[in-house]
Formats: sequence, C-alpha cells, structure tokens
Amino acid sequence: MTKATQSSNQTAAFAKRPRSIAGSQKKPALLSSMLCGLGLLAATQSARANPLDAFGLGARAPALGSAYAAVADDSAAGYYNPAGLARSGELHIDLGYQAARPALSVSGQRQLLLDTRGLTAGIVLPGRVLGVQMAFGLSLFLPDQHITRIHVLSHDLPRLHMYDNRTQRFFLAANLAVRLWRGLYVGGGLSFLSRSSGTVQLKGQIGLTDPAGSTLTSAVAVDLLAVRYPQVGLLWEVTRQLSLALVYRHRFLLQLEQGFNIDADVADPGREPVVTGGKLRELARSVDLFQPWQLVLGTALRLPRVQVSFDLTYSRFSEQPAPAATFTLDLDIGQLGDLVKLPKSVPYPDPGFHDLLIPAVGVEWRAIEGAAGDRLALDLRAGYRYEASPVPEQLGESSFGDADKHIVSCGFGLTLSRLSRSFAKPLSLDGFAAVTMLPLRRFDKSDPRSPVGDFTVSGTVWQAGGQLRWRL
Amino acid sequence: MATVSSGRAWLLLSGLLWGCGTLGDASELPDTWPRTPLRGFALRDAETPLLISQSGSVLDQPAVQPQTEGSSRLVVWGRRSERGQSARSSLFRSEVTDLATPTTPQSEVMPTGWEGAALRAPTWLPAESTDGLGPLLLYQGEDGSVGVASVDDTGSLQRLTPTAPLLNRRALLGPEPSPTGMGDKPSELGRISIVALGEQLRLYYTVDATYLRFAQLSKTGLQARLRNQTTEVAVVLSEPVLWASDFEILSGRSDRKPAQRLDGVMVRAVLTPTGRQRLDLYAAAAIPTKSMLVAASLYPGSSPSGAGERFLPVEAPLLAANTEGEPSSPTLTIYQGQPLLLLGLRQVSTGIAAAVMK
Repeated sequence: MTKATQSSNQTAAFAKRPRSIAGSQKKPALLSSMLCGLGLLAATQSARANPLDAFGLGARAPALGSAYAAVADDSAAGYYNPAGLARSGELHIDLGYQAARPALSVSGQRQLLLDTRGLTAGIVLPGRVLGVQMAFGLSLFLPDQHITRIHVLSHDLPRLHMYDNRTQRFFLAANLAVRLWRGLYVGGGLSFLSRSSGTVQLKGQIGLTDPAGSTLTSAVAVDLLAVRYPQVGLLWEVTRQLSLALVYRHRFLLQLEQGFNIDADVADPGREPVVTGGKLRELARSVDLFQPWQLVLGTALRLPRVQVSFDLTYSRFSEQPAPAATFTLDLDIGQLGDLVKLPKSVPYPDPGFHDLLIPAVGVEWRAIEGAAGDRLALDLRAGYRYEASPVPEQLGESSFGDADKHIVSCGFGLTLSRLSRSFAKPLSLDGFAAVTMLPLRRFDKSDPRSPVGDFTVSGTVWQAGGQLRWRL
Repeated sequence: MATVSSGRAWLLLSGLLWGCGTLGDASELPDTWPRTPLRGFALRDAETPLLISQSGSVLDQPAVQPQTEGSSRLVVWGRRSERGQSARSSLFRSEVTDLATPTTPQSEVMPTGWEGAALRAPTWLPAESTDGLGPLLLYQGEDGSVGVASVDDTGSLQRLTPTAPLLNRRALLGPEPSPTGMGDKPSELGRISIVALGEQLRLYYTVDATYLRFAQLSKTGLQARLRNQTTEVAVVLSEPVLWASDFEILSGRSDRKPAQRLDGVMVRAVLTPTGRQRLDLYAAAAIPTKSMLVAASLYPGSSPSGAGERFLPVEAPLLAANTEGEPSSPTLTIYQGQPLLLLGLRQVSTGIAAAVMK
C-alpha cells in the first residue's frame, strides 16, 4: 500500500447537485432541489452566506453604504441585524433584483470574472406570543447563475481571492426577533448552507496494454450536507432620534470532500491479470468558501428630515485557512507498488490574512414629503464604505490578488401611500447604484523565477439594484 | 389592512424562483492571469514547427528586430550556414507576417574584413538605449569579436564598425592564462546578447560553454565609439554569473544530471508590472546525449557593476520535454501582446521554430 497527500487543482464548478445520485448520470432537478432546500431551511430555521458582505442586500441598505445595523426594519434586517425585524410590527414583503459587475485587471489585463446578479426577496411576519411582540423574517438572495460555485485551485495558482467564489452564493436567512422591552430588540437565527461530499466509484478491469479496452462500470454519489452557523443582533432605540446596534455573525467555512475510487484487475482481455484486486483511493479535501466572524457596532441618528447612520465592522480574516485543496492517495497494486512513486505531502503555509475594521456611513434625506395630496414622499440616499484588503503581501508561492475597496453609493426611495383600498399601507420603490473602486495595489515576488511574477491589481465593481417594499 | 397568509407568500416566492439559479453552467472561466515567460512553452505547430527554413541551410540564433508596438510584422535576423559547413556563416533577414505561414530568408549579409569567414549571433539594442542612433544590431565575427550595424527601413544593413570591431575577442576574454604548450585550445566565445540597464550596457555571453559572464560598457562610450570620437571602448568584465552545471538535465526516466554545456544565450531586460527591473535568461543546456532549453532570472542589484549578481536557474524546462528534435539558441519576444519563443530546431533540417506558452 502506497500513500501520499498532495495539493491539487480542483476546478469543478458546482451549480446544482441533487441530494444523492447513485449509479446514475441524471441531471439534477433544480426546482425540486431548491424547494427541497427551502423546505429544509424552513424546518431548520435559517440560512445565510456572504455575497452580501461584498454587495449588500436589498436597495435601501446598499444605497446607505451598508451602514444599516441600527436602521434595519425590513427584511434586509435578516442580514444586517435580525433584531430589527421586530421593530415595525408590520407585515413586509420585499422583492427586487440586484447585480454587480466586476471590472478588475491584473497587471493591466482585464480578468474574466462572473457577474453577481439575482433576485432579492424577503418577508417579515410580525406576531404576538404570550403578549410579547415578535417577528419572523426570511431574507433571500437567489443568484441567476449559480446557487453555489466551487472553484478550488492549488495553492500556487493565482486568483482574485475576494471576487472568485465569494460572490457566487445562494443566501437564505431566517431569523426570529423579539421586543424585550420598550425600544430594546433582540434577534437571531442559525445560518445555513450546504457542503458537498461525493465519490466516483469505478469497478471492473483495466486494460494493461490497451487502456481503451478497459471495462469499468461507474457509480457517482454526491451528498449535500447542511452547514449551520449562528448570528445574533441587538437593537436599542435609546431615544426617538438615536439607535444603537450590536450584531454578531459567526464564522462560516465550506469544506468539500470529493473521492475517486477504483477497484479493478489490471489485465489484457483473455489473459491472466497482472494485478488482481487493485485499488486506488483518492480523497480531495478543500476549503472553498470562508466567511470570517464579524462583530458590527452600529448607530443611527434621526433628525427631522435627515438620518445619519454609521457601522463599524470587525472582521476576523486572520482565521482564513489556506484556500486550496489537499488530496490523499492510497494505491494498492501488489508487487507493482514499488514501481510507482507518489508525491510527498506538501503542507500549506498560513496565508496570513489580516483582521479588518470596516467603517461605513450612510445619509438619508427626506427630499419630498407629503406631496400629491400627502401620498408621495421621496428620500435621497448616499453612502460610503471602506474595506481594506485582508490579503497580505504575496512574496512567495501563493498569489492571492486583492486591493483596498472604496465603495461609494447613492439611491432613492419613493414611498407611495394610500394607493387603493387594498394598498392602504405605503408601498416603497427603492433604487441604488454603487461603485467599488480598487486603487492600484502592487505585489512583488521575492523570487525572480516565480511563475506569476510581480503583479498589480486594480479596477472597479459596478452595482445597481431596485426593490419594491410592500407593507401590509 | 389587507392580509396575506404565509402560505400565499410562500407560493408567490416559489413562483418567482422558477427562473432563477438556472442561467449559469459549470464551465470554467479561462485563466487570463499573466505569467512570467520562463517555462511552459510548446511548439506552436508540432506538425510543421519551422517558421523560417531553407533547403540545404542551417538557420539558427534568431533575433527579433524592434518594431513599433502593435505591429503584426515580425522581422527576424539570424545565422545561416550551409549544411556541414558551420565554420562559415552569414546573417539572414526574414520577414514574418503570419505565424501560420512558413517563410524563407529574404536577404543575406556576408562577412567581410575583420569579421573573417563567419557572421553570427545578431542581437538588437533598441532605439531608446542609443540616444539618437536608432536601433542597433550587434553581431559577432568569426573569432567572437563584436561589431555594430544599423538597418534602414528597407532592411539594408550598414556596418558602423567596418574597420575594427567594437569589442575584440581579447576584450571579451580578459587576460588569458599563459599557454602551456600542451595543445591549448582557444577559448570559445558563445552567442552574445545585449541589454540596457540605466546608463550601462551589458553584453552577456558564455565562455567555453561552461559559464556565463557579461562585459559592461557605458552608453556614452558606445556612442563615442560609433561617432568615431574614440577608437576604444572601456569595458568591465564580470565574474561568472551562471554555470552550466547550475542546470540539471533529465536523463532517462528519472535521473537528473548537471549540464555540461551552456550555449546560445539570450538575456532580456523586463520591467515588471510593479516597476521593478528583472533580467530573464534563455539558453540551451546540454549533456552529451541530450540538449534542452532552459531559463534563469535575477533582479539586478543596486551595484552598478553587477557585482555579486547570480542568475537563479528555473527548474522546469523552458520548452516541453517531449519536443522532437534538438533545440538551440532561444529568443523571446512579445508578439501581438503574447510571449513568443523563437529557437533553432534541428529535425530533418535546421530552421527557426516558434513556440508559445501553453
């Protein structure tokens, strides 16, 4: 038996998988798996992931630079601060669409990156239990293209770390919030995503001198396994003008396991096997997605026509493991084993990411109020968020490209009241546009022979979105 | 107040989800991240690898004439000799307009005067390094001495050192050991390659195919010599900066042996995307039974003389190991925005082949 562990290149994009397939090549039934997933999520309370860390959720919050922890009172609270769900006491249904297009260059060469775009939806269901004001909220971001995307590269392959897989994820959050006391709310839930574990199994006979003559039967089994992590939020309306918020989001790590097994004799047809019962076992383990735990301190100040909000987020990126794959090989081919040299184990160095403090500020101005017979109001919004890069200098083998991010945003909120008897409560239409600017960052390599060499990263990410917020 | 049951809300959401999450596929995005051109080349067309060839001739030592950026034209100079008569050679010029269309040499320059019976090792100094003299072509004569020429728009070559070389053999070899009277062989001067570093010019070459060194001269010294303001150019010779044995040649399935010969060197100064200068070296390394193309690299140090600088060999082969034929004298250029490796390739005939990064 020969064993080895080695880094590998795992570049499987993973859009939709059935819960389990055995001995089948069937395409997954997307809708059924989604509904299955939704049902499972509903049963297990919650879900969330983090393309929203990069682009925000909804249309009002991104317009405010995502400084929203102390402002949230709609379904976006499911991401920004679950405690805000219990704030309004009204039934909300929110529906919208948002998109982001990265235009990033490495050493002046435009890189091909996927857009992030999809449906945003949410609902807030208020209620009372034993006289206590509560609310259940569900928030969703459903990407157009991939429910999740797996793109695991070997440690030495370069990548734009923050815009590779991080933004290609399905997000669903379900939270419960309670009003503890006048102006004091608490909320939380479990976060959920799936990870996959799969094996390809081949059995039969491998042709020794004619590989094309091999007779192998195949079976594939892939499981989607639940991953959960908690989040909690606290919201305190200190006065009618001032709110404070504290939110904790737990760390999330998506680990994948993919196996490849062969059980076969090695022989030419009609001849005695050279190897009887040969075995090859390959197991790839990779860390595909990582979200650091985050602590958000937020505040909002409401003046007669102006609201100013500020969030400060501590993001624990130093716990980021090496985003790469390791795989284990077990080979048993009897006496021929001595002829095969498997590569030795190569441990990955700590990537050395930095923790971040991310400030964000948002301003909302009531530009028009009480127009059209007191039926129309217009808010104008602007925001700014600064996110330093957690990626350290890349002097050695790895090449994780990233740069600091300045996110500037603006937006509007049009509120229409008393539209009809069925729409007695206000209906809001929000829109936003934002640009993330990545100023040029230089990465030098200590070894002139590096396959990647010195490189620079720069660019912009364009974002836009709209949302209808319906109160009932 | 209108009411909507949670069941209806779910139904509404489910309907809206129908068209989402279905537009992507599992295809992988192309990797467009730039790489250093120090490894991973393969012949552009393995079936007909020779881009420039001529029946009965041996063509090698390619050098690409500097062109305006974005030009689709590739003007290649190189060495030509009759098959079996390598001691007598000339320079050829060939214009390539399409890498998919093989061509032949279109003009030839024969040796004369101090050049002896051979012209070889063309190497280009771009116009920005010559202070108004335009791009210059440096070359070697029969004994390794170095001459300079300019080339006009029609491709006609005009010698700028017609009566005496810019650098003679003795200047490049430095003080040689006293003859022993035991049949000493004269030292072998390998292919030259010139690079500009600030106000200095470095002429890299191998000695006895064993080690690499450079002769350093100033730009002003070169200009004074070419304007006939002086008859000699001051040069400083370096210590060896790379040895043939720094490279290992794969012999058989897994044995690696130190190379015994290093030849056909080309050195290229690169400005990295972050603004640092890097020197990339391309050469052929060989043991008696095998030859392969190799690369090495270094960041020039702060010392103007280059003291203490050593090239670091790249372990991976420059050209795919399964390339048929014997490769020699590589040259790297950027053609239409992509690295292009030209090399001498001996198969049935010997000509200039093109390789690209895979």
